[in-house]
Amino acid sequence: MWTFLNSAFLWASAAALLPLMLHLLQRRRTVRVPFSTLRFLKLAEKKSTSRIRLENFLLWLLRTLLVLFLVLAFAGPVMRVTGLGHWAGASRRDIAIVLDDSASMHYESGFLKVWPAAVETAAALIQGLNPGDRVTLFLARENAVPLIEQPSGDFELALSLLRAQEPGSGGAHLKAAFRAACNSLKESGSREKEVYLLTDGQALSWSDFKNPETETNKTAAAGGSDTWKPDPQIALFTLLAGSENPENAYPVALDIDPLLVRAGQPAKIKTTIGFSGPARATSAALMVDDREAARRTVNPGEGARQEILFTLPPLDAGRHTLRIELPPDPLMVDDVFHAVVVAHDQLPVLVAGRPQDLFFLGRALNPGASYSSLDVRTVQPDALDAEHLADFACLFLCNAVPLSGQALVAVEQYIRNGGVAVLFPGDRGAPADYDAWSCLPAKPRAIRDQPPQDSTRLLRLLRPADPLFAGLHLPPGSTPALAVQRRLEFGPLEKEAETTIGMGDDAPFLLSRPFGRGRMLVCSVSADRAWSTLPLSPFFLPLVHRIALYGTGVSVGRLYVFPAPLQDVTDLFNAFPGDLNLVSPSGSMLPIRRIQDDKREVCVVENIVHSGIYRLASDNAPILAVNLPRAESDLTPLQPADLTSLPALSGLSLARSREALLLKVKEHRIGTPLAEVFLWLALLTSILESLLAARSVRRTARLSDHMTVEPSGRLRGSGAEAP
Amino acid sequence: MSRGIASFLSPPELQRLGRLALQSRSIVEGNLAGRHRSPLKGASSEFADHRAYFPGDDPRHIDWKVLGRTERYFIRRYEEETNLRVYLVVDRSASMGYGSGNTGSKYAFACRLAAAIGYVVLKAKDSVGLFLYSDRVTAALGARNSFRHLDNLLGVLADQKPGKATATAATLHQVAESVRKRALIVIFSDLFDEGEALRQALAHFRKQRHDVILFHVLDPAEIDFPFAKGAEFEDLETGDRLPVDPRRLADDYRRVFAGFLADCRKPCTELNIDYRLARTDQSAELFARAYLEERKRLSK
Repeated sequence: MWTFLNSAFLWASAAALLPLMLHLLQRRRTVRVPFSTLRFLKLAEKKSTSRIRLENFLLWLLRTLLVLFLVLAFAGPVMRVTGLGHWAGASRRDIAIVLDDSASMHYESGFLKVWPAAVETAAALIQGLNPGDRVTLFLARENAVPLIEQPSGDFELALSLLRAQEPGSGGAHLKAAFRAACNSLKESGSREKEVYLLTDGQALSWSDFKNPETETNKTAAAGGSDTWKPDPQIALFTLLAGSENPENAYPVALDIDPLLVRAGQPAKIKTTIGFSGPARATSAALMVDDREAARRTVNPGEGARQEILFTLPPLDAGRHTLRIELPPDPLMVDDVFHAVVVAHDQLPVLVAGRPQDLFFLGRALNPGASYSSLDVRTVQPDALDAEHLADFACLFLCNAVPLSGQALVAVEQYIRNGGVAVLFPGDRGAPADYDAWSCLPAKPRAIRDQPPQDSTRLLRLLRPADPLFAGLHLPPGSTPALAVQRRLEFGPLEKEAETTIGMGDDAPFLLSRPFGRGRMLVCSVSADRAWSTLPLSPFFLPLVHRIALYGTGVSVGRLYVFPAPLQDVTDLFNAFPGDLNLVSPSGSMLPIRRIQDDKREVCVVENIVHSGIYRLASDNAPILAVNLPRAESDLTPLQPADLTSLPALSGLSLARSREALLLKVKEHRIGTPLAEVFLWLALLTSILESLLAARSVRRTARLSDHMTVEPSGRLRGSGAEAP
Repeated sequence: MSRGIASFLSPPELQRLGRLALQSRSIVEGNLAGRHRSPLKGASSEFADHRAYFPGDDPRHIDWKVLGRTERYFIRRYEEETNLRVYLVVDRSASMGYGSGNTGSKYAFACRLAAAIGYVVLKAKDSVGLFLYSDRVTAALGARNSFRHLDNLLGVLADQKPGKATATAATLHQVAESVRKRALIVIFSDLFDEGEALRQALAHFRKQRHDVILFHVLDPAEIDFPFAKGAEFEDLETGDRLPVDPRRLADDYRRVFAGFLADCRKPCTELNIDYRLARTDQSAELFARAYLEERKRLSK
């Protein structure tokens, strides 16, 4: 709908009659010219009448349009988007503001500060409302977080809530918040409705709009429809406050090799550096216990990620903090990657069995060197229930069956919590003694004597990729063969159980089954010479060492975690620590609580939301390293063309600055001034008129120029070439 | 105001024209002996042919040498040479009164050109006559070879003014009927008449075995239509008026006029008529001299 800022100028549109009047006046003042004959003029006119009429009409049209365009340009026309015309400019309105609260909103480069810009824009929108208008306020995080869920006229409250917010540490799903914002305006009736999405322009936040699969799952689960579109009466605006070419370098992940760090021995640290924006070299430093241990220059190659390796210097036994640090860049929240590593002095291993049964196993685990990596403790089977199993990295049961019920429960709890137990059978236990075991890969069915002619068995690794065998090397020239006199015969494999080492073609040698967070291993022969020649074979020692190391590695604590409202920290402690507190990087105390989860007790800490090192309050030992999810670090900017083509966002007005957004809002509420457009049209029309007028009166060659008349009157040239 | 040749041509012009002659390209019939070939055989020094003797023939014309060689009687025949009778046919229709700019009217130019042609004819001891017409023949003077007759003839041209509608084709038919003996017909007209009728009228002259010269008298403005400002054009013959924007009509006018010129030239070429375009923005005496020089050169 049109309105005019200077409507008085519209009277000048009467000037559009000027071309017609001038034409008529010109006809009236025609000069009379005597001519020899009109015969040829009439013939010529008959030929050109239609052309001249068309030219005259076009000239009249262009001249009239030229006058009208000039008049309209000076009248200051304004076109409103809505159909309510001028009255809508002063009508009541409800607005919903969605503020992107993802970690990428921390971006600051020079004068560009994304979060303050977004907040100030939201504040300006609220302050621009009139009494009687209402506002709702949402934060876009992983889920929509309503600050003001129902339209409210309390602008002071909205401003105070808005300014109390800080950019978050996770991602944001704008579509969910956008939908919540649109729904909040459902009850607005005939009021003007506007929704504002204030974000940094990171493509990731908009992925739900482009890839409805994730949203489909959510809506399907909620019984909704994926074809949701906002109310067409709602005017949509978005501010892309971020940089159009953002720069960011960030450590993505950290791995350590070997996973079990031994005190006094070096290790390798592999980290991945990600890049957004133009490629530029940077450096990464490895900080160990707040001291720089190594530094590498990183040159981004073809891809957006680059892997670099550090050497972790030998550490003392205990917990140490690791940090990958990059120089500060516009998004500083992801420049540091934290980890906590535990350096072990000796690995505690518990062996349960009678002394006569442990002769070979005890010597294999502790070969008698001056320094052993394994701290082996042996106990009688009936004393097993008195041991605190969580203190041990690995448990060997050597002819220990039958166990008491209490010991069996302790063993199974130990495995469920992440421990590794290895069972060597023996003559003490009958197959029926294994019935109470629920963690076995397969129930032993019988103890079978092997015929002498079938005693030689070749061992085969059936799962060579199993981490259990990583780094397992047999002595050169040795053949993995056994002379088996007796062996345990198994029933069907339990769920998820598998045979990791076979013995010949028909019998298993080592069975494995994941149980809880740990693993149960069962050997089909005993650990002494009574059943086989296993203790004398060259691979006995490396195999039991590998199992012991594997057991320790499996139960090692996590290097780092990501923020979570409820963080499970059970694996960080060998036993429930009691009344302990964690100290967050910001200094706040977070109690460790014990809760029952899925029939077991777990230790949890709430509100692990800040990145950094969490320490035990009691001894300040680093316990937990928390890092922000790195998905938010990919600042690949949004392409506005992709956005406006989405059905859910049709009619969306995009702005890259607060001023531009406020101008668009003003144009929406008041209208779009079109004076400049009409001036351009007037210029175009005048050019067309000039071209057409020049064409219609262009001078062509005279007829005499096409003929040659000799002095004697002889005519040369046919005259057919006449114009 | 002096009547006669002096009112059309100055003495130097007459002197320059006096050395020229108008040659007929075909045989003509005259009353007097002259430089032009006659269709009649008679007493002259130019031998023509022999024919058989018939009783009653003058014995003086018997060729005795042929009789001596062949013992048969033959009569010697000689070509008779005669003078040239030239008729000036001048159009005085209203359209001939048109003249643009500083150039005089087409009629005035035609009169000066006719005076020059007449003078040259008389200087060659030939006869000159006049037909003056508009929609009909308004003056007709027979062919005579005296300067007094030329003065009278030119006096008639000077006395008459253009003013009426034209009927060139019909009038030329009338003239062709009036001139019985072979003669040289010189037409001065703008030929603003219907093309086919005009072609038939010219064919009529050729049918009568007249030699015809056609001076197509045109004003430069009629050819090029150089007008720039919009105006109401008035037809001099009919008085019709037509509002015209000349700049936007000029192209088509020139195209139509070029077609008209082609229509005029085509029958002349077919009928062996000497067609000449006479623009009024040039000197009539110079034009006449150039034309006569060329005609003399071509007749040799």
